[in-house]
Amino acid sequence: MASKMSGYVTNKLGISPDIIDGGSIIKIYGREYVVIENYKSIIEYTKDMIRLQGKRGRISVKGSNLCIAFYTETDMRIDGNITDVILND
Amino acid sequence: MLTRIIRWLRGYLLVEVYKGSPERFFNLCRHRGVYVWNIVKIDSTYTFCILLKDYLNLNETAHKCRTYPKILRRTGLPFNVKAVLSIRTLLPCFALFMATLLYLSGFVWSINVSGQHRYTKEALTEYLETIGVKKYMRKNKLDADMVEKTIRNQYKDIGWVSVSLVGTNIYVKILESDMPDVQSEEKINSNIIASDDGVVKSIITRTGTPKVKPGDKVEKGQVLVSGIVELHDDSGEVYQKLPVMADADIVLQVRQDYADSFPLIHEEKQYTGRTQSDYTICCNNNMIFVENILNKLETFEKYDIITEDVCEGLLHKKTYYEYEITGKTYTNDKAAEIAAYNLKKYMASLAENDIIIKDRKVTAGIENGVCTSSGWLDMLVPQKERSLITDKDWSVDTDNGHDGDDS
Repeated sequence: MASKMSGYVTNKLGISPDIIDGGSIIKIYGREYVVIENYKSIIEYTKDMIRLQGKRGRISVKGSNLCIAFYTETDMRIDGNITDVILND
Repeated sequence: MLTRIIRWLRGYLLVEVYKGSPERFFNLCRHRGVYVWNIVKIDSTYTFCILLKDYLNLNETAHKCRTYPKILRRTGLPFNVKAVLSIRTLLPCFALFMATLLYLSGFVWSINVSGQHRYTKEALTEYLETIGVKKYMRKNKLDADMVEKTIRNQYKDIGWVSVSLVGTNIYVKILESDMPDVQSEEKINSNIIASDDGVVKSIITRTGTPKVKPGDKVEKGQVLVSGIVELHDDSGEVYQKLPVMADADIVLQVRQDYADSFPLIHEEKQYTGRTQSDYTICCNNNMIFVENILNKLETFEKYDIITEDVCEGLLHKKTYYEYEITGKTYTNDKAAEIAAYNLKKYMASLAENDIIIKDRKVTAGIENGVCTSSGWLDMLVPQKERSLITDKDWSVDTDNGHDGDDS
């Protein structure tokens, strides 16, 4: 209900979902790196996959030679040879 | 780029964690505001970079996650400073360096003279040395006002002097006054008189009364053209005299004696072969002097200076050639050559004054180590000398019968 309400409000007021809903913002720059904002924590970190917990689901970044360029309160960047970015519930 | 500089200034570590739960470790770092970057998984370990100040507070977080952070590398200014300060002799040497610099900056290291044309820099520098202003003197001993005053008193044709001390350099700027002689031709009532004994060769009178004619013998000081013009009345008597400035072209033939002598033993310059070169680089009104401090010019007693432009306007080279004075004797031929040269030089100076040499007879001989030239010169000399006319010279005594004198 709450999520339906927030979805209605964002639609009507024209506000982007990440502000009220807490949706993650994923920016993919080619295959070189990905910048992710609005996430909760790292669930798993291996050389081939980094799994993150977002507010409304999980984000998996797959590839090879993955490393985290920086990891702060607000955003993080994953470098490497990126092949997949998967969003799960 | 700026971020990297700031990280380096603050100092950071490359740390490795293994065992426990590294993911939880990173999450806890994030929640506690600990900034980590370059997180890389290598086999079963994770390496990352962390600021020095954050690493010091990492103990609790690591303990919670049962990980063991291990420092792999230390980078940054705090570590470099520590390494430098650990050298015991560094600070004393640095203090000694600063003390030496401070001490040496209390001396004058160069004197620059500019603005001179008639006087050479070396002559002015030499004079400055006589009044106590020289290289390597203490700065606090320089009295700029006194130096300016002394230079102005010594050199009358230097109109403006400025002496300033900038850093360890003394700058002396001068401005030479170049007043031309006043050449005004006032019309002064005067006679033309003979400058020497001689015979009048030619006379062309424009103003005045000629007193001689061609062929007349005249003595020195005799009036050749009078500046008094007599006005005659109908009966032929002088009723008025007018003073004028006599103007005429008069040429006298004069015989002048000539004599010259010089000793055969004389002093000559003998170059020792020792030289020193200084370079001056000019750039945007600034001058940089480059000299070899190991080859001291001050040990040269006497020297000639040759200045040349190596690169026009940019690089000048000044070479000092040391010489000694040695005693030498002229040979007979050389003495005769010098006597002839002296005569030639004298005749050239006469020619500059429009004097024409008509004839001459000069002989040279050597006696008792002295070469003597003697003889005579027949010259045609234009007469330009003048004598002033007094009021008494041109006043007229008139008897008009009404002066009360019945004698």
